[in-house]
Amino acid sequence: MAITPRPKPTASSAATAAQDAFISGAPDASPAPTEEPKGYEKGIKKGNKRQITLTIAPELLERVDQVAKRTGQARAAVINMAIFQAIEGDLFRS
Amino acid sequence: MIITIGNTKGGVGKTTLAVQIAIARAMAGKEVWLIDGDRQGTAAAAIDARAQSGRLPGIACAKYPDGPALRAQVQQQRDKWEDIIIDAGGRDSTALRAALVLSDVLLVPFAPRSYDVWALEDMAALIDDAQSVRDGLRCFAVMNQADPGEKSTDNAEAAAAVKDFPQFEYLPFPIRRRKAFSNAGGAGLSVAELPSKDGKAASELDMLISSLFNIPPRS
Repeated sequence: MAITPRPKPTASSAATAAQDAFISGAPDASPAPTEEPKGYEKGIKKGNKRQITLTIAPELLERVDQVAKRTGQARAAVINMAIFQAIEGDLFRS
Repeated sequence: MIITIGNTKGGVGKTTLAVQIAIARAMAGKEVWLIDGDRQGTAAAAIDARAQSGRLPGIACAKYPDGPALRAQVQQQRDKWEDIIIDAGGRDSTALRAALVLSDVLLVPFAPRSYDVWALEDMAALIDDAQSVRDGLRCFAVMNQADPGEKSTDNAEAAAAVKDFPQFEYLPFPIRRRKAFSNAGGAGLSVAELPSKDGKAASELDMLISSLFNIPPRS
């Protein structure tokens, strides 16, 4: 005898398909394999966000911090918002 | 006959009853296969204890916590046995669902306590689903761990609550809360095999079993 491949769960006939669906509807059934959408992989994963390195001129940093303080936001929030505005707006429109 | 002792609720005495029924049927000379469909494997452990003590008759016992495996094995082996007793549940599981698809009779034990009566609703819904994919499943509710005494109000109220669920036929042979059942179960023995015999426990079990295996056809 040759080496037999590990048997796979067989596809069932239409008569038992409803029963199969009923059995595999239990909470402990192994979930059907799903393709995970691949996200953008750059940066270091920090929860749902990515950490990147940014160097910045001290004068610009001071102004960013002033805006952050005045509007009661974190520095990162101001930077994020500014980048978003720049990208969505006309600045880099090609 | 394939009989499942099942309930989505845990702690109602499924395993205790399944082991008792399996041993009692084997003692009556039947070829019995006990299937443990619970991941905890308590029924199988009890039968292990019985085997190690060398007590006869021995009980054939298999453990299939996964529904598809349980179904495939039982479908293949069912003709070799007179009685197949499946212990399944404690929660909604593939094993319980597979047992519902295969069984002739479902026995749902419940204790006369509010939580147990509430949980009958979940079981009734699961039975509806099972009935939609097959024909001829008979479902019985039996009171287990019933309060002592013939006049217990809780027993009567819990029994009456079953009538709210047309999915169940109520089997009026309650099993009362007795140490004999838990002691016997732990040793893998029938209550009738205990050294200090509890006659009441044994006769309650006899009544339940004789009604289960002599079910009149549905009128």
